[in-house]
Amino acid sequence: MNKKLGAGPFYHLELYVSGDSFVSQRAVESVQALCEEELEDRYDLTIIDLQKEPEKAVSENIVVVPTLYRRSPEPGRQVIGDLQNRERLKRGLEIT
Amino acid sequence: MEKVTTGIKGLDNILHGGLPKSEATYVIGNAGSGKTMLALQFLYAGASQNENGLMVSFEETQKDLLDDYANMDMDLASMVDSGLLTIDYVFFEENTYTESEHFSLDGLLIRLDYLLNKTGAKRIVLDSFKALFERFGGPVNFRMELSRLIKWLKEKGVTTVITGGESEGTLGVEAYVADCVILLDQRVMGQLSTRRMRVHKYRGTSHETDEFPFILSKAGFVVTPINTSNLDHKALDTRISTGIESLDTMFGGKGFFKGSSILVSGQAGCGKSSMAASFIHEVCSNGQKAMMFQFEESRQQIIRNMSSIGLDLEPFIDQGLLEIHSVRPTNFGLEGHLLNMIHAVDRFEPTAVTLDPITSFWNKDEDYGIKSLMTRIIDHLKSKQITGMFLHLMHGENTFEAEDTLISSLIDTWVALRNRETDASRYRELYIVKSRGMAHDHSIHTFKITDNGFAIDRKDYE
Repeated sequence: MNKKLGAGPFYHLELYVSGDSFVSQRAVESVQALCEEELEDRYDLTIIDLQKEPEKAVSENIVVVPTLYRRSPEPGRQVIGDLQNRERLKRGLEIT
Repeated sequence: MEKVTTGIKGLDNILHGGLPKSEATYVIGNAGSGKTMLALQFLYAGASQNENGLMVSFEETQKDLLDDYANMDMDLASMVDSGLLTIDYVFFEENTYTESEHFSLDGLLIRLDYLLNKTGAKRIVLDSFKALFERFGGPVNFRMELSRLIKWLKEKGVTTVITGGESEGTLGVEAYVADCVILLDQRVMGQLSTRRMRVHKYRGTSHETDEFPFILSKAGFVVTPINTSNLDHKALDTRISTGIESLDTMFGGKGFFKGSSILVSGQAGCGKSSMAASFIHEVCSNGQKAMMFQFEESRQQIIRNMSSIGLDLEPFIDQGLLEIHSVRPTNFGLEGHLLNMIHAVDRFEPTAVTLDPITSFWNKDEDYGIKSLMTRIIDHLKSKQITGMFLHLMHGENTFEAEDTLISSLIDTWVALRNRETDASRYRELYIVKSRGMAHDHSIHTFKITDNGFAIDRKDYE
């Protein structure tokens, strides 16, 4: 029984972090856990380390980190913060 | 301390050389106060010396910025085309949710680092912190993030200009971290919009501390040059004819000193303008350039009035020797006019300049700023060794008011004119109140203004 399967839109997400700092690692872990537990196979998460791909800071208009981009569902939306609060994270991504 | 030019001559003077090299300057002012203009001129000045610049705009796209400043003398678009100027528009995603306040500006730092490496920029502008602060400024620690950013830029060794608005307050941490803080202000006084600037601090170096008026013109940010020193002007002993033979005679037969400041005072209708026109006519007749600033008459009026006393000024205008500028003191932006005058003088480089009358400004103006600005114009002419004739319109019998000593101290030669009435007739009188450094006549003479100009009667009247 999987009540979430096919029960909602597909989430295309991008998480921008800086290096492998404590804050970055925690943000990655938290978002990965959210995706696995709440979205199952309805998501696609890309993690971008700006220290490795600094040009993306320009092309994707990144100012603060961590930044979590929801590319879809549209309209696009971003969530900023250390991304540790599951409830607020869900509210930010509009996952019901 | 090494300094770099701002691209604004007057501002460089105020800063005693320019902005601190490889350090950060914070420019604070309201919307429309000229912050972006100043910042762009700073980048343009660098680019003009083949020094790459990076404009990080949080408010305008590259296209909007270039469009806004397209009518300026500085050609930003070609600097962008040649790669000397890079504009990075930092767009803030509208649809943003703040999950927590624990985020850092590292994204921006990485972005700037990438762009600085890519462009090789030596000058950077962040315009403005106000936008950044309004977007992310809720958290208490954001101020610390801004100061961390400034410190980081200083470590990178780029010369930085950051603009900010008043909402952050002038004494924020970021202002403390900056080495130089410049305040821009736009205010309305007596229906006149005036712009002022002041260097709030400049760590480790001297600078002017006064408030200075400035304008934003096609040439950019124009701020009055500093009085280097009132006593410092090189006195010339060359003479220049007054254009009136009998008046030359009163100055030892030779006329004024070239490069001196001459005040002609008198009531309305006693011949001040005619004396000025005689002088200008003489200068132009000798093939030299002259400029007249008229505050009460139009260009056509002065040409017509003077031709009626035999002074035809029009040919000189056609020959490019004479410019007559009619300025209405009641117009909006009075200080702008005055600064434009300085600009016009620097462009035209005349031998002689007349201001007719200097007093129409401050009679109705209680602000000391206008007066000190006029003083600066006189001072500016002196420093350029331009002979200046200033007409002082008096309303009564009394001569110069005590408060005008500021002007008086700058005046080398003072000629007083007056109307006299007896039961039988009206006549005019003239005398030299003072004339520094030369032998001159001390008598009171009568004079007439005829079809052939000024005629000073050497004999006493009845």
